[in-house]
Amino acid sequence: MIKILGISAFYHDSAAALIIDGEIIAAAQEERFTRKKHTPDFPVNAVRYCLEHSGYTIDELDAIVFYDKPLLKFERLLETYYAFVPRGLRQFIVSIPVWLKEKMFLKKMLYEGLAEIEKYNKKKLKLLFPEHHLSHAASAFYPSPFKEAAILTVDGVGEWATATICQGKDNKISLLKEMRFPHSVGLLYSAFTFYLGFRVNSGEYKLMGLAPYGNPKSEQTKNFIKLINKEIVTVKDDGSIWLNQKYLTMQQV
Amino acid sequence: MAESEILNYATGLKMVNESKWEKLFGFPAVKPDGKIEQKHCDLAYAIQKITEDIVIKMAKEAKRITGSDFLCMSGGVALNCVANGKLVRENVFKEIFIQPAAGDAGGALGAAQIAHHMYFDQKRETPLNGDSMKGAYLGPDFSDKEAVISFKKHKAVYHYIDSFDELCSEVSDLIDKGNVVGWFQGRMEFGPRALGNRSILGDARNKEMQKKLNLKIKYRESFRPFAPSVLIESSNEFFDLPVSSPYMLLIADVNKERRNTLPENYNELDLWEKLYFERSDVQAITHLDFSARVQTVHKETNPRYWQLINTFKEKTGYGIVVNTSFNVRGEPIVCTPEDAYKCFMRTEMDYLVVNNFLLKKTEQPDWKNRDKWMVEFKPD
Repeated sequence: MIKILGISAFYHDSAAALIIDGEIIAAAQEERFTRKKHTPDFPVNAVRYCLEHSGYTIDELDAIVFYDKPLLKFERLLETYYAFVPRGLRQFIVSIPVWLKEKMFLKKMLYEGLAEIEKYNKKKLKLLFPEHHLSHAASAFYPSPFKEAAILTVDGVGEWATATICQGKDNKISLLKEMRFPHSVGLLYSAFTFYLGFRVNSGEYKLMGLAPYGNPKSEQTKNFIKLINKEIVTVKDDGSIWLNQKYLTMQQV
Repeated sequence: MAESEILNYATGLKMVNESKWEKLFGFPAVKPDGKIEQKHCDLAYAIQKITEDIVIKMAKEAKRITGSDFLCMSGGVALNCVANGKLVRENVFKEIFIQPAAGDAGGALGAAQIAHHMYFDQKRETPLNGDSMKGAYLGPDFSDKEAVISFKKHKAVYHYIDSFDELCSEVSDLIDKGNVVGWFQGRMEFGPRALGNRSILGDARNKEMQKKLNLKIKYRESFRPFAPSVLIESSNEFFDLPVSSPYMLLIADVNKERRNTLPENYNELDLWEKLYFERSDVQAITHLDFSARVQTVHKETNPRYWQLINTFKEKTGYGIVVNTSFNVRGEPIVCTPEDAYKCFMRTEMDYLVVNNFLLKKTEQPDWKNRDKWMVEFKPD
């Protein structure tokens, strides 16, 4: 029997999921237990629930797998471990092999989080960090009713690959095409979410709800569509997009 | 693109160059909770339309390079159920599966699965009946004993209804009479939607239901009407939906014969007048454009919820109820019986059902000022 725990943490909506021999046994979001909406905290309670529900301990797991959020890693790493001025940042990143360090940093955070749950043998623990886009595509393909399928992932804010097209066949997923940061549909949508007064990362839903109040036939609406297409986003035939960064210079607030 | 700017994407909540946007669209950024005017709605329409077009083009490209008849989707944008609904209607693929926990939470599941199949190289069995998400009911459940402990802690008055048939019959009558019922059963849902195990239910036909749920339960006004849970067997009676939608991730149009004619001055009404205008015989779930965000309910994945709605159908002819998540605005969906009882007492919900227990609001002890949830949970 192969028992695997998946963990998503430190970004937005932390969660844990346990699968045994490929069957989904338990999965939950941490916010439900701590009562803090979209909590990024290490999912102590969700992991504990998954273990209790299945009757297994951390030592009995075959692997613990972490859902990577590439951009987040930069952010957290730098925030926590280094003091810096924003101007010096660019140089800092290009000159230091962060990837190595940041993996160690993540490991440390994971070890600490797990220690809050129960005692376990660190040496025996197999920690895996699959490629981000694969995890994402996996959650769409493996539970699906299809033997083979096209897989489309379209992400929100804070990722390198902002959209991918993969193919799933039997137990394998292969990446065929990807669109990269900062050209992102999620980002584009979130920018309008922000501009229209809603909260990024949770207010997108409100924007979608507001859209039908728009008048599709009005000159104003048509003009808006024209302006967005002319100035902010170029949409190519294959669905890939190019965002005009002049409109999207992110500012820290 | 400078790396420093990239970093700001990750932390920065200020996402746009406001002066440039103001120049382009002719109005400043809306302040949080600012007044929404027609131009804002038109811009929302514009970006939604563009997003839909992009998603459809991407799907067509996925079709072109894979040649597959089937599509799987995940990621934050996959929660845009309006775009999903359009994609289904485009008929690019024969069938589409969307991961219900499409955002970050689902990444935990995907990470475990990719390790199982590609690191440990384990075979994959294609699920025989539908997907293998178990209806997304993957969270904790709570025993009667655990429920009673919570009730006693708060000196709650509760009734145990031995027969589930009887409970369904009673709750159906309560919903039919216009009551709002908290419905707590079995394992909690994984992902952002409440799918009938942590839900607040009401009568979709009731003309006051939308207002009541907005103002007395959720304490916020939403542009979107509430979502319906409809028996899969009744889905065609209400919606133009050729497929099932077990995870509330697709929108569909309300059937034409159920719609009311709109008045001539309809376009001049303000936002809230439009929202509350009676558009169909299932008013509480019909959006401005006659769409609804549908959850189809299946006996195989949720027999208890299915039975409740089926009982309601036997009594009223309508195999459909309003389903909104069991929480107040800004609060995560309830997890435990105690969370449910607190939410029940904080709001003007009329009844609460936990497993086979039925609780009536008017029988409960006074709750006033017992807690400060309005401070605890910030508005969305």
